[in-house]
Amino acid sequence: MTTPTALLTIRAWCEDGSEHPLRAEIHLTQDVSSGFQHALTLADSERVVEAVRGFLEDLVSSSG
Amino acid sequence: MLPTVLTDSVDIAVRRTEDENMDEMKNRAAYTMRRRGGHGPESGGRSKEGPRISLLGGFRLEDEGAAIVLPEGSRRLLAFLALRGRLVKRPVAAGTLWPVSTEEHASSSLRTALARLPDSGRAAVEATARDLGLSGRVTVDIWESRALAHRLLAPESSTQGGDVGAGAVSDLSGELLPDWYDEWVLIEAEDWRQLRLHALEALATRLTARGHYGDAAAAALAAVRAEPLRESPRAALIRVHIAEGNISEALREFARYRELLMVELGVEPTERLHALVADLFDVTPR
Repeated sequence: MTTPTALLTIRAWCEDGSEHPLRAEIHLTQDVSSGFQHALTLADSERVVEAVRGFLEDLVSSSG
Repeated sequence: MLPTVLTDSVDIAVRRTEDENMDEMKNRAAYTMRRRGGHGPESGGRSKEGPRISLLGGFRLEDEGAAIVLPEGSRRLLAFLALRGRLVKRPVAAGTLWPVSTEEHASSSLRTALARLPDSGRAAVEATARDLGLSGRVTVDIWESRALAHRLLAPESSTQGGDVGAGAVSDLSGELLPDWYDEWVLIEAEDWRQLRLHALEALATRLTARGHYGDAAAAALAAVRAEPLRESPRAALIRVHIAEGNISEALREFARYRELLMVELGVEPTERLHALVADLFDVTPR
């Protein structure tokens, strides 16, 4: 049996002229064989970092 | 100084490598010529004869209109060759398709994928001892759709009959291999997504200019569906409604987008989008 592969993709762009121009669309899954399990869009870089950190922490805790 | 025997062998080895490189260049040039004469990625041409590979909306191989069922490894191989659209060295194909396997195991998986192709699938592949590619008879939907998108983004004179119509909306609406998560697919899928978004907006603009508002709205809506939070497709859709004189629908679309942005991100549309609809409030019947 192969180890599940987790995947996180971030599609990011800027809406010029917006007060908060960042748009980061995140798709993530802890097992690609199930497809993407969650999707969220954020406009704040700190929250993007939090989402990535949470994803990695979930991965580590599920492997232990 | 190297001993004579050794320098000779080095010289022979260098010459052999040069000969091999020359052979390879000839092979690749011949392959490109064959593809150009047929239905290669550059031509975007479509033929009703020969095998057809569809990658938009999911993988499908057809021959003479009949669907051919393939094992997973063979499907991935054909999809990979279709996306590359040119000759690929066998080790590159094996290493890309089976990246976590050993080189030996990946090569074996590649041979298996080729061997398990049914006759009609095998006719789609051109294989030499070193390279793999699709045969000149094969057509691929993404090649045609990419060519269409590029024509729509080029000056108006580049478009062909039928480019600016409802068929184009359909050709630009499909996602590339949805639910495939291999790295070589994700990058191509993203590339296609960006291209089709721009092409759909350009198509909406051209259809609006011709007064074909229904198809223009369909094109803009397809772009909105692909990227609901992005502003430019939403602006394209609002412009279609304005051009048609459908002010209430333009305002409704603006309100829908504004609410979506507020709920999802807590932000307002840009000043540019506000300006697009600002004058409309004055003409809306009370």
